[in-house]
Amino acid sequence: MTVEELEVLVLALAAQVARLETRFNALYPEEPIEEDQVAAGFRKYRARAKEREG
Amino acid sequence: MAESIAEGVVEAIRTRLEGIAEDNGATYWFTPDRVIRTPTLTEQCLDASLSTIYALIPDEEEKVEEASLTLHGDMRLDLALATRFAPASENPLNPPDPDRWKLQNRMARDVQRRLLDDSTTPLSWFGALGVENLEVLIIDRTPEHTFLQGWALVFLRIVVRYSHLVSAP
Repeated sequence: MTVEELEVLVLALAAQVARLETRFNALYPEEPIEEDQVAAGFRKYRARAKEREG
Repeated sequence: MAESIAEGVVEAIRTRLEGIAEDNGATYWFTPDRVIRTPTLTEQCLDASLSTIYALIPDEEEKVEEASLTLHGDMRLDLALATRFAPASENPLNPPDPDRWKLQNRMARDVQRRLLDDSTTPLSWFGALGVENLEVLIIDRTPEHTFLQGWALVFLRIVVRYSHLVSAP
């Protein structure tokens, strides 16, 4: 394989990786799922209760 | 197929709370529209078409060896007690009556009275589940945890102790 052929292969692989990354980010966004106010209050209460119990 | 004792305990508590019937505070203040079991409390649990909702939420169960073939289970669970509360204003200088805090106290009283009622043999409503004790560990009315528009909410943390054979959890 020549250097030119290798470059083409690397570029193709890089493009494929970029496509996969885009799809992955769409499926699993980095933004955390927003917690509703009721759930947030309960989570804080539960954390405090466990803290008290040691 | 028989369910576990833990399952029986949770259902007994749910059924016990479902039986609360308000009599304008002589015994109880609220009749719950629904007593639900939920893995956690979310907005979805607080259905605006209902007035009073009690939710049972599971937590850890600690197992302790009592004798060679007998164990104790200390099962903790949380109760979230919610009733509709939508006053025109919560101005502390001109508060509604009842205010949020009073409603929280009424719900907490109702549930403690129902679970710890001593007018019959204590805890006999658990039947043959081997329940030895039920304690209320925490009552949480703090606004940081309970303040919601449209609802008065209070949390109770309880622990139920029961014993069972190692082979029959």
